[in-house]
Amino acid sequence: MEDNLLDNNNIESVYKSSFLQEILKVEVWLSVLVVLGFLVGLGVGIAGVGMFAADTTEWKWSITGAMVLIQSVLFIYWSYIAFDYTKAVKWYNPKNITNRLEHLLEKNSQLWRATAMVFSWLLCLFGTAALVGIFG
Amino acid sequence: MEVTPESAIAKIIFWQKTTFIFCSIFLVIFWTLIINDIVLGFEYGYFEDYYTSTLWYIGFCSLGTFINYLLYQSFTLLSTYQKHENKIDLEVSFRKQRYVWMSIPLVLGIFILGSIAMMFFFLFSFSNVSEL
Repeated sequence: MEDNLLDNNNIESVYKSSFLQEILKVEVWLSVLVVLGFLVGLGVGIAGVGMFAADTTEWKWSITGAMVLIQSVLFIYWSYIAFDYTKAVKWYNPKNITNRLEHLLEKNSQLWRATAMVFSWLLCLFGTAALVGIFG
Repeated sequence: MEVTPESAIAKIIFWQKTTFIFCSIFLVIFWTLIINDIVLGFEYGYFEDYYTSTLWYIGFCSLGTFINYLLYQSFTLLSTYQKHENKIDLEVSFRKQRYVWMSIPLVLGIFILGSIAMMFFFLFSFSNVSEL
């Protein structure tokens, strides 16, 4: 098997750490965020359902409620992706072809994609809420 | 398509930049709202006390800006790694990324604990007033 250049980067640097150590240390904090993201997703989902239940005849509540529900799905999706990345970090083995560093980096990019999606939709949600507040 | 470290790093840079742009827009909105609220004398303020409100608002936005700056540093270092292939850049970039993930629960924890402490403080202040 061809050596992966990045896999060999486990030598202690001037920062008394290494690239692999830095990757592995993230596990604890991401685990906290996975739980937090899931709970926030559930809370936002309940709020979205509440908006629908409050008054479905009003168009502004229907639109905002639907957007809030999508936001809750995005939070839960983020939580799932973060869980997937945390799991990959935990079981990372440079010698195993199915779980090499490039796959870990790929999962990391997916995590950032999910983060960007959460923030972009949150921005849309705030924009819609502001428009509903102004014109509603 | 085969996954390579280079392509994965390029994707990380792209999505980190996208997240940074969205977070920056949020921060600009928050700073504008907060400065507006301070200028208007806390007309829409959550706390009645001037100093607590200022501390809370400025603290929250400053920490948010700092987290966003860490994100900026992370993708800048990844871009430098792409150019020079110095592994220390990769290591420091992932360290900054770890600080981003670490800061979010810490900042949230500080604000939740702070809010609970404030709530108790006001609760006891009001109970003392009622006794008088």
